[in-house]
Amino acid sequence: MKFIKSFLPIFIIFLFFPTVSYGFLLDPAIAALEGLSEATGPTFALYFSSFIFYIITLVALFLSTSLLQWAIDITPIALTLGGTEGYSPVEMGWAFSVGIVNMLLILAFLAIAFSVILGIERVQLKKALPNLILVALLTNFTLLFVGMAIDISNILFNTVALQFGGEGGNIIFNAVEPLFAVGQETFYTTIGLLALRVVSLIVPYLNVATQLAWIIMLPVEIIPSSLNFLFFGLSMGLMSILCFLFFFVFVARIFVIQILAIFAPLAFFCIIFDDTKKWFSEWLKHFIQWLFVGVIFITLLYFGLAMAPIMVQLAQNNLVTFIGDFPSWVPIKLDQVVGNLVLLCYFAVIFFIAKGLVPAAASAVISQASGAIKMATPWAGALAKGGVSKFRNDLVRGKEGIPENMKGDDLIGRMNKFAYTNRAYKGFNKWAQKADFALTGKKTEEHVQERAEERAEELNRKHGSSLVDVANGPTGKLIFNDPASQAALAHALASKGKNLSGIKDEDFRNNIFNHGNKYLSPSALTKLNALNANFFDGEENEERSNKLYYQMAGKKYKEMAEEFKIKEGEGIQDYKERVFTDEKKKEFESVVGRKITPDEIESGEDVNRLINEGAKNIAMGKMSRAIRNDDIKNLSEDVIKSETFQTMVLQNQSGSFFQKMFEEHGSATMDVLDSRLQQFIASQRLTNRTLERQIQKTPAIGVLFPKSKEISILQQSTQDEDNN
Amino acid sequence: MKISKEEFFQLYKTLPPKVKNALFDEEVGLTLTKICKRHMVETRYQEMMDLIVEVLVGLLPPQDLEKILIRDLNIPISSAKEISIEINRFIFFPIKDDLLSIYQTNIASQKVIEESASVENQEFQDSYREKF
Repeated sequence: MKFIKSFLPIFIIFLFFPTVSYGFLLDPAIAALEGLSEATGPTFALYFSSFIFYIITLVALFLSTSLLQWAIDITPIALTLGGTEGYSPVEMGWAFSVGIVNMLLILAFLAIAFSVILGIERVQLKKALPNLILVALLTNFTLLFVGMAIDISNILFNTVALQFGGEGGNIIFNAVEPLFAVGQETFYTTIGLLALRVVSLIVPYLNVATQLAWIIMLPVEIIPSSLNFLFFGLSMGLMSILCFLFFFVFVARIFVIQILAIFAPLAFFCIIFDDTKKWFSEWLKHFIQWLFVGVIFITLLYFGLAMAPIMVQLAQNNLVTFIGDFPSWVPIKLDQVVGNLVLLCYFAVIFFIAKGLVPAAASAVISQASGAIKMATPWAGALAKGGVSKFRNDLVRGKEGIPENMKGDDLIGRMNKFAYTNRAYKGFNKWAQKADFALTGKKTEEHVQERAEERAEELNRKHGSSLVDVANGPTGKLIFNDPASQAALAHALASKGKNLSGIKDEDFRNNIFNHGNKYLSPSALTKLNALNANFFDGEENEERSNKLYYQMAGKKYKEMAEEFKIKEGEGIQDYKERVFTDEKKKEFESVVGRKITPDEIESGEDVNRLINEGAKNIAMGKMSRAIRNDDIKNLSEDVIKSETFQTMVLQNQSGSFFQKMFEEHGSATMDVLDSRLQQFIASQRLTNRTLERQIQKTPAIGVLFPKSKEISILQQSTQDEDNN
Repeated sequence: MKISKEEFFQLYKTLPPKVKNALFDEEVGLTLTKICKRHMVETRYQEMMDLIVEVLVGLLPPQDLEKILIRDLNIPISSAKEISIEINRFIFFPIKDDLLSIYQTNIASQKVIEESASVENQEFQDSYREKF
């Protein structure tokens, strides 16, 4: 007893510190619970995340529709020139502008008066006088004009805006109300389920039963509810983005119009002079656009929202009656799905129509707002792609027994055998690209292009003159391992006037050049090509070169080359009749850049070859102009020796270019160029009349091109003799 | 004396910027064409252009131009005098200070003149020896 008594205090103290004890009765429950949790864990995460997503979008939609309705309601009151309680900022600002304009008008009158007195009057000043008088009169009435225009737009706006409220009730809220209501039942069920699950998890054995019930309920409640939340959450999310956007346009419209009204006198002042008239046009354009953008928006919105219930009704009557509905255990109703999809489609249509109609500033904001979707889409695409890639990887690797370290082309080759997974992968890829294009209006190549050019700047900032060393270094191929980064490298070097000859590995160098041409903007790739003209030399590069010439010359050349191609099985007479018609001939000559001789027509000259030459000449002109004076010192020897480079500069450049070439690369380089030019003049292939003239008229150019000068003089004297 | 491209390059490097620009100025040729037309010596255009280059690079003092026109190009004295005045007035005068500095300090051009003179002397001596 004494022994028990001594243990009593210890027992009492430890009674307040509970510790987990695993009795043999609980062991099976814990084991079962752990096993079941592995299965229920991911589904619970999906269920809970989709629910949270649904709640967030619900709040966002409520907020955005309320704000939109508010913006519509206040517009007629806020968009006035007069203020409230005797305070009108617009009138004050306008009075200030008028003061400035009146002062400027006096100065302008004085300037004209003095010019007349001093006899230095100019035609432009005389011409400006009537405008000056007119503006002096009109300026003080600008507030009236602007006010009238605002009144007209307000009348139109109000006509539609009244339909949103009044007897019809809040039309925006009515349209989106089904979205709020639809999930109500599911919402309460979810809260109940979550609460039940949390509570039951505390009780041993009951938690096992709950987990088991969860698994049983998966197809009946959990998955359908998750889908429900995701679908309606997505609908509401997109709708709220659009509503926020419309809200912004309506509110911004009020401020922009008021600011434009303040600047009205200054805009009218700009009418006086020819050089400043464009500012008035600009002001007028913005004023009209901003005035009517509200009217256009609200009209489109009204029709869309008014049509939504009708579409739901139609879905109810036709679709569900004749086709049927989802199985009864699915908590989503088909008519609701269709109704919401229709509403969403209509909002998207308004969005894209408005994008083309609204002023540039609002359009820019729309582009920025779509950034929210823009950001989400590539993520979604990437996630989907990543998921498929992973699946494909694991599946194929497992089936094929591909070793973990196999990468690159070998791996792609092995993987592509699996048509099904490959199709899925490509499908997702295409979907992500299409979705991205639909939202951003840009192709994947354009995104890569933008990224490449941004990255080029970063590279130059970071590595400066040591960029070539980085590329040649041990990690060079790892850093620049994808097309976009190779394009960036090409652009970074070209923008500093450097070519690719510094890249030691030939394959790597070719890849950089090819990807540069694929993923750079026209101006960037023209410069890249100009500085790497040696890549165009030789018959082995002919096909690639021709492709690049067409790319640089423009779409027109490629299209014409296709049009004028000798068709299969076409006789020479048919070809002549098809190609050398008067109209076509003119078009064709403008592309080729010269007249077609009767002999060429008679012999049925292959026009395609000449178009090719025309494209080449245009491309070379562009390439040649892309070389700046600062780039000349960086031109490497292999480029200067290149036939393409020599042809390009001799056909298109003039004295100042060769002066710089001479200063930077010395007389030996000029010897090479002189020999080439001599050949051109002798074969009468030179079309650079400026250079030919400069050889004779500019002292130093004649010294730099002595052989060419000699043959040019000889040819000229022969011509003179012939003429005599 | 026609200078080679390499000699021209060596001399060019030492020239003041204004003279360099004049060497690459098309106006020079256009002015010379007018002068030649006025004095009806169009056939001598190229030779006169070579002389202008020589003056500009520091090989021929501008005051000697008239003598060369008479001696080497066989232009009548009265025309040569006028041509030389016009060339000096329209082509060299705008850059006269820079030209003056070349002829006061240009060691490079002196070197070229001396080298070419020695070559000419050698040729002369050789041809003299041949005769015997």
